[in-house]
Amino acid sequence: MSQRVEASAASPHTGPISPTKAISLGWIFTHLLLLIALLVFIFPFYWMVSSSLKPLEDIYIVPVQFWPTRPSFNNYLEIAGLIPSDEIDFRGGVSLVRTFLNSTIIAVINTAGNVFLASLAGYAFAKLRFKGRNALFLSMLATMMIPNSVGLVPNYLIMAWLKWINTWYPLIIPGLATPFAVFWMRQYMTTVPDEMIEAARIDGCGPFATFWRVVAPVVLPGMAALAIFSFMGHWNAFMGPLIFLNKPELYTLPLFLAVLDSRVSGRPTPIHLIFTASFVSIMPILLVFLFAQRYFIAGLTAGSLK
Amino acid sequence: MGVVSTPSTLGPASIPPKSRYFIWEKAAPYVFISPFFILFGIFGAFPILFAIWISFQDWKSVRSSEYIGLKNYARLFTDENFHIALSNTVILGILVVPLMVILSLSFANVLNRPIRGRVIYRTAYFLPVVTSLVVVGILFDFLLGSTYSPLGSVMQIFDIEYKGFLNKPEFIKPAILIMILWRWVGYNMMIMLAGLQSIPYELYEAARIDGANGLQSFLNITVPLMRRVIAFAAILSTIGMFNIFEEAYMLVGTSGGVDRAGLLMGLIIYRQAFQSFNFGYASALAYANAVIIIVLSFLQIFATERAASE
Repeated sequence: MSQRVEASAASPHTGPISPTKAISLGWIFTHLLLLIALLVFIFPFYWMVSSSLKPLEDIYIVPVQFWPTRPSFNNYLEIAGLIPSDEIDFRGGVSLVRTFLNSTIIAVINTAGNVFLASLAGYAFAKLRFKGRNALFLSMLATMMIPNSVGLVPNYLIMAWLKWINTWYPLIIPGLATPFAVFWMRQYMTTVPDEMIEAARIDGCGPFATFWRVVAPVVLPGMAALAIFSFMGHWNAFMGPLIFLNKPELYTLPLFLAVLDSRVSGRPTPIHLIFTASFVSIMPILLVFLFAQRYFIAGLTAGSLK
Repeated sequence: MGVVSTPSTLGPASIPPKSRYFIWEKAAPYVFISPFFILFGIFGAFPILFAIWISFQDWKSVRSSEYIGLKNYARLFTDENFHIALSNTVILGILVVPLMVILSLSFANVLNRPIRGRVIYRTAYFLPVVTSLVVVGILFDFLLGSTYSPLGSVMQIFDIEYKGFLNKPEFIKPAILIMILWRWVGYNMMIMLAGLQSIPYELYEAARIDGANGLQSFLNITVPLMRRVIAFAAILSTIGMFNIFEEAYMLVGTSGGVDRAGLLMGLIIYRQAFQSFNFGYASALAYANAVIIIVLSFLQIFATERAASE
C-alpha cells in the first residue's frame, strides 16, 4: 500500500491540490482504500446507534436489519428509568441517569484536582530551584516504567485497610496525583520565559501569586489538554470500579455497561439497552473530541509517553 | 496568603533573611510539590515496593499472610495458565506490532498530503481512540461473536456458514487482533503524522530533482528519518499488548474464551488477584509481566539505536 501512497509524495504537504493529477489510477485507488478504511472505522458506531433505535426482537433477527424498520427512542427512555423496566428494577432502580451522574462527579473532581496538583508540582520542577529537584523528578519518571498491574494488589490492600471498599475514594484519591500529569505540565512550564516570572517577582508577586496569576494563564492550553486526557481516562476507567464497587447505586458508566451483560447478571443480555447505554456513555467524550480536537490529540499522543 | 500582597519594588534578592517573605520563598517549592508527592507516595510509589513484599507472602485473607520466600515465583514455572497467557500475548504481539506500524504509517503518509477530505479521514480514523474500551469490547463481542451480527449477511454473500467467530478457538486471536488494530491504528497514525511533519519538505524536493521516485524517497528519506518514531510506536504497542484488560475482559471473559485461546497476561493477573484472591501469586505475576515489558522495551530501544548508528 505504501507504494500507492507514495505515488505523489513529492507534492507539498500543504497547498492546493494540483489539477493535473486530480484524477489518475493512483488517485482512485488511494481514495477507494481510504473510503473502505473509513467504513471499517465508522461501522461499529453506526451499528451501535442504529441498534439503539430498535426493539430487542429487531436486533436478534436474521437477516439483519441494517436500517431500523420501526425506529423509536423507547430504549433511551427505558435505560433512563423513565418507563417501567425489568432490567432497571432488577438493579434496585439504578438507571443510566444515576450512573451517568456518578461518572460525572468522579471524573470532574479527579480532573480538577489532577490538573491543579500537577500544575503546582510541574511549576516547581520547571522554574523553582530547590534541593533534590532532579533526584525527585527522575525517580518519579522511573516509576512510570512500572505497569499499573503491579500496583493492583497493594492498592486493594491499602483501600481495604482504610475501609474504602465500596466507596468512591479509591477511584478519586489516587488519580489526583499521576506522574504523567506532572511530567506534562513541567514540559509546558519550561516554555514560559524566565523574564516573565522575574518581572512578576519584581512587581511584588509572591511564589503562589506568580504561579497563579502569571504562569497559569500562559500554560492554559497545556492544562486544557491534560484536563481532557485526564477526564477521558476517568470517564472510561473500568478496572477500579470493577474491583472496588459492588453497590449498584455507586456504579460508574463502564461498570453499569458490564453488569448488564449476561455473564455477570446471569439473565439474558438486554443487548438493545447495552447498545443504547454504550452510545450515551461515549457521547460526552465524542462531543468534546469533535469540538476540541486539537487539545485532544495533543493530550492523547503525549499521553503515549506513559 | 497575606505575603502575596506585600509591596516590594525590589527583587527577591534584596529581601532580608529571616523575614516571613524569605522563609516562604525558600519553602515554596516544597509546598508546591508536597500535595502531589504525599498522595503519589502513598498510592503510587509505595505500592510498587509493597508489591515485592506481597509477592513473597501467602495470603490467607486481607489481613493475614505468611512468608513463603520465592514460592510464588517458582509457581510461574509450573502454572499452565501463565504459559498459555504468555504465549498468547507474545503471538498476538508479534502480529499486532508490525501490522500496527505498517497500517498507521501508511495512513499517516497518505493523510499528510493535501488530499481532499483528509480532515474527515483523520477524524474518523481517530474516533475509536476516544471510545471507552468497555464499549469497544461490547461492540466487537456482538459484531464478531453474535449469530445476529451483520457480518453474517456479508458471509452469506460468499456462501460461508456463519455462527459467530468467538466460539471457535482458531478465530479468537484474529478477533482480538482486529479489535486492537481498530482501536489503536488512529492513535499511532497521529504519532506518525507528527513525525512526518517534522521532515523538511526540501528533502523530498531534492530527491525528486535527483530522479528518485515515490517509493525510493519513502524508503530512503521517510523510513530512516522516522526510525525513532516508528520504534516509539512499536514499543507502545508492545507494552499495550502486555497490559490489555478491558477489551479482552468484555470479549472473552477472564477465562480467556474457548480453549483459553484469548487468555492474556492482563486477564490472569486480574483473575489471580480478584477471583482467586491469591494476592501473593498475582503480585508475582504482575512483577514477571513488568520485567518482560521493561526488557522488551530496552531491547527495542537498543535495536533502534544500533540501526541508527550503522
